[in-house]
Amino acid sequence: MKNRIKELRARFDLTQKDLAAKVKVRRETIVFLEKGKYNPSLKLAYDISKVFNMKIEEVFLFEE
Amino acid sequence: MKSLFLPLFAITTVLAVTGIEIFQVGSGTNTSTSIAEIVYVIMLFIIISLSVYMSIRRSSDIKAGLPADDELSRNIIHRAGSFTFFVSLFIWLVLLIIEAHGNIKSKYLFSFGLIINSFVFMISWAILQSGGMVNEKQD
Repeated sequence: MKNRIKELRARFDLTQKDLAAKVKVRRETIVFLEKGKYNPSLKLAYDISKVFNMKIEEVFLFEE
Repeated sequence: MKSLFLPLFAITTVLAVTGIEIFQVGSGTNTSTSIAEIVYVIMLFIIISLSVYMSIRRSSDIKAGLPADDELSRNIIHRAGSFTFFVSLFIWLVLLIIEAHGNIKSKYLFSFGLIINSFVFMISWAILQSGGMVNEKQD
């Protein structure tokens, strides 16, 4: 599963720490998410999408 | 703050007690340092170093207003714990075989079992912490 967190974070001018604070996770979790080394829970995916005012499928790209 | 100090306190207390016990027993019978004692000290050093590192990271996160634990860190601890349990079955089996065929005392057996399990947990935690954790197949 790929995601657009890095791209969206840059667009919204947020640092990894800012995003982590907004969704109440550790900074490392954002780092691993951006690198594709961690797949978030549905709750975290929803919270991240909410920060960017987008739907989950617009932020997280599910590949078949 | 409980999540920060409790694991460190528990680990260091257990290790300190087992370490003191081993050196007290060893110093009474044999003055030379055995290979087992050297290995024990190295493992002890690695475990304590990683525990301190873990606590410092948590502390800096708390100071920055971020949570000390989140879903990823909890998943990593669960996975490291389950891996350690699986490995510990073999470790205890090997230690029991050594006890049956060698002259190792029960005191040493339990101390080594405890320290090896702690070591396996800390190493697996460190590997997962540095490499991330993908919870589904990516192919």
